[in-house]
Amino acid sequence: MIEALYRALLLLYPAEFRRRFGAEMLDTARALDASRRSRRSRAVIDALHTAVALRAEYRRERRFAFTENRHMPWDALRRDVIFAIRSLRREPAFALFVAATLALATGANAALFGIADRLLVRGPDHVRDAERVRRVYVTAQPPGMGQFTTAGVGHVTYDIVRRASSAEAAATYAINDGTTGRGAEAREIKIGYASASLFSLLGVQPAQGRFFADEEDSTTGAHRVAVISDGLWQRQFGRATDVLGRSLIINDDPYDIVGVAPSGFTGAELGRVDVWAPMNLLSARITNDWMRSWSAQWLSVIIRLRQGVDPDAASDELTTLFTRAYDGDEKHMREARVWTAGLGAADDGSEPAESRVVRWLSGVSLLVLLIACANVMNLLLARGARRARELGIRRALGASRLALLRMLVIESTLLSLIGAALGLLVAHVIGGAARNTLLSSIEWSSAPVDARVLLVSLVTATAMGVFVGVVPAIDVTRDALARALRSGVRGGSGRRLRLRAALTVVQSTLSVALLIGAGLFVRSVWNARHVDLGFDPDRVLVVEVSRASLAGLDTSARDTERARRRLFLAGVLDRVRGVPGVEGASVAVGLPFGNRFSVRITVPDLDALPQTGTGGPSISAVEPAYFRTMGTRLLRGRDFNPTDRAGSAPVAIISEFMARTVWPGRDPIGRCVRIGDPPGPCTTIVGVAENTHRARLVEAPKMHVYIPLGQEVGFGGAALLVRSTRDAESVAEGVRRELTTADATITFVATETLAERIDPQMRSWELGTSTLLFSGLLALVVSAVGIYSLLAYLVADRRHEIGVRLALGARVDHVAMIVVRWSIGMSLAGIAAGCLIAAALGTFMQPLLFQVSARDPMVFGSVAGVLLLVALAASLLPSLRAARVDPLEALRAE
Amino acid sequence: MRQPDPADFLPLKSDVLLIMLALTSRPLHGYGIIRDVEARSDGEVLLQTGALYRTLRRLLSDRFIEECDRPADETVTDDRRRYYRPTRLGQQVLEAEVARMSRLVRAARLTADGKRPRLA
Repeated sequence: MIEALYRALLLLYPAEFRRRFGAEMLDTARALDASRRSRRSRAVIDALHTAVALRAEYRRERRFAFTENRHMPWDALRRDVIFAIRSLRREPAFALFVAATLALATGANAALFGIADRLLVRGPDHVRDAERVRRVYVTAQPPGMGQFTTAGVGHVTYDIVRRASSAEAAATYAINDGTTGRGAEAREIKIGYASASLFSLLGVQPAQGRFFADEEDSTTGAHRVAVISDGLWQRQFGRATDVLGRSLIINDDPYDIVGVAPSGFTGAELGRVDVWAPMNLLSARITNDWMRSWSAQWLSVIIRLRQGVDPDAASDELTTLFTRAYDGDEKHMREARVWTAGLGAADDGSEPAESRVVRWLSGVSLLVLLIACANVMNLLLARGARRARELGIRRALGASRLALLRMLVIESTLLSLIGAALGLLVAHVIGGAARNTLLSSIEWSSAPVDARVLLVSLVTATAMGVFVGVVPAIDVTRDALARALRSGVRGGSGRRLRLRAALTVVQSTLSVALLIGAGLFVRSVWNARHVDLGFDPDRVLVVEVSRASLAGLDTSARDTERARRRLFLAGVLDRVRGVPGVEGASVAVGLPFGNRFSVRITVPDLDALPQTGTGGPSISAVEPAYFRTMGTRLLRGRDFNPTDRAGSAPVAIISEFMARTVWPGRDPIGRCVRIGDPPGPCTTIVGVAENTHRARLVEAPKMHVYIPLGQEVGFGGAALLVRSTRDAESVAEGVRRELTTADATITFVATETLAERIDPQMRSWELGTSTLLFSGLLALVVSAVGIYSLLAYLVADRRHEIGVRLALGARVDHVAMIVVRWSIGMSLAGIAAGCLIAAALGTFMQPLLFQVSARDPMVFGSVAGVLLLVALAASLLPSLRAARVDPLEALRAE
Repeated sequence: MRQPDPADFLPLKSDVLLIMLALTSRPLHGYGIIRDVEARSDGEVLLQTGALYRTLRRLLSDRFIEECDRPADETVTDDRRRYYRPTRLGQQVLEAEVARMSRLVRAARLTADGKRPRLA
């Protein structure tokens, strides 16, 4: 009876208490009742009274101290979080700065992770079992050249790969520039000409309709069918549901749209592709025998290895098949090796420069994260000192040290989560900017912040919050009780000061290392921009025209039209020169950083051309004003003039390197060379031009021959060159208008400065520069704040001591100098360590740089200077404050 | 962690003092404490269950007492019964309290005898 009553009364007790003592109390109450020493009414009143009293006690404890609450961890966590928010709101400036530091660091990290994820980890989207899909490369060593590797192969190679037993499937494709629409509506697009097998090999499913079938890609009658990308569907058709079966003008021909590719599909590469069309449509525009030609090498071939086939074994098989199939008589082709590499590799089979840079930058962003951590730890230590009293009181009120630790760590985790949330915004901005400017050739199907980035940021932020919170929390909760009971915040600060100084030095060290990296990249970019290419890339605009199809004309009309078109550019030169802002104009076939035509040259009194190791000579056909337009200097002899043209006596201008190589120490002017295979007539050399880079920023001089436009045999494809008085881009519109009014058959005018053609080769350096510079400056600001906050703390902590010194007659400037010396000392340590780290990493860094030593003293020196200046600036305010300490006041405060 | 000073906890409430005294002789369970206190106070103090356990909780969290195994000579073997004994700190506090009280008593006697009392 009493037991039932007591059991009911126990329900009024705090649950925790009931769980702990309930059973015992029942037992005791029963025993007491049985002994009849106490009346039941007393027992009930006592039970009620105790329930009320206990509830009040528990409430009080909960308010003032963080009791261990093993039974309700979520409840306790919620309480701690609410408390943390409240306490952070009391110091908004601190919270904001910490969150901002973390936001920038985690943001940079998240942005970079997004980029690295795409470039290094995931590869192109929509590829099933990607590890078995590989690109085919051919490595050969042509006479007179170093060994070279290319992903550009011929259809013959595709046929070989297709038949290999190690191949489950093979596909070939070529991605070309093209236009869609006509006239003013015309837009430049990327067209992927692909064998029908590409889609099944990759394992991609169309979002709508279908991909094209084998019979639509046959040589006998390629169908004009096209699969458009998700992006084009959006841009051109506004996601119209009835897009299938509609017609799309591609390179002035109508195509039937049969399918829409899924969003983010870019084939086997990462670049944007707007339209996929059957391979045979492209080949039909080129030559008739391209499928059997060994010299046509503009296809990419990919292979899906059969399950379990080793890539090396596959390479051996492909090489054997290639050697057996080759029926030409060139030794290097017979000895060529055919092999495969993963889809992430560059066109020459190596790791792309972007990947290498991104790999580096991932390391850099981790460094930035470390700096941010050091900084936040530093600030948390300072905050801990300010809160010593509060923590001590909590401790005195019964909060265990563990509870205080938990509270502090929850605060720092909360801060870093806030930072990470802001960081996602930063990542969105930085990531978006990096994609648009530095990595614009890559199709980014997902937003800069996607689910993976989100997950990684969340995990990083939580780990970081705990990591940066624990050390300061352990420090500030140590002896919290004892410290709080003493007056003031002074005392026991030696260890903490050393810890904070160490953290500050670490920050400076990492900033120095980052800034040195940034400086090296800045110099690389500067050097790359100032390479003497032998022409003026910024002032020359390359203009190429697309024209209406010749289909529908009979054979003779077609020949007349072809001839007219061939002469059109040269004929329109005078009109182009009249466009405002145009300084000169010319026409050329074979441009630097454009089409390159190799040619065989024979010199009558020489058995063979000297081997140069940089390949055989290349050739351009140019209109007289070419050299003036390009800004290429003529070193000797004469320029071409209008009388040098088709049918006149053959003449040539050669590059200085060729002159030096073929006729060392002798005058090449007036000598005779024969061009072509079989050799053509005697061509007289009339001039020598300075060397020009033909394809790369880093390039050994090459032998090059210029002949007058019209005298070229066996190559073609003229482009208009326009030299402007200022920047080349400004005259583009005028030139475009002039051309379209001069010839109605022109459907599209593509303009591009030579600098833009070179830009892709600058990209890895620019990527490195901007990221390193951004993170370096961020690190600098963060460490400046670190130094400042430490010095400010130091001055506040030593107020008493400074007061005593001043009272004893110390000079004000000496006191101020103590603070400055501290600052300089810490940054000198940072500079020394940072320089050591940078110098040690130099060996790995060197391959990424351009014509600058990884241990460039100028860069090291200026970074050291910058850091010293920053340290001085950071010590300014605290040293002034030290100097202004009023001895009387400082002493009275004790 | 530093050892707390027993003197910080004085004076003790009479309930606490009686319970601590009960536990010094041997480990007891709840009802045992009630009986011991009753006997020790000549039937004056009859602790009620709720008040006893509220005090025990306080003593446990202040680390004056701790739970211990059932004494070997105990005849009742009820698993729900838990036994308590003083900790070192509890013992020290108790001794300090007893010393304090005896000083008080001595002072009171001296005063009654008309002499000048000297506390501490």
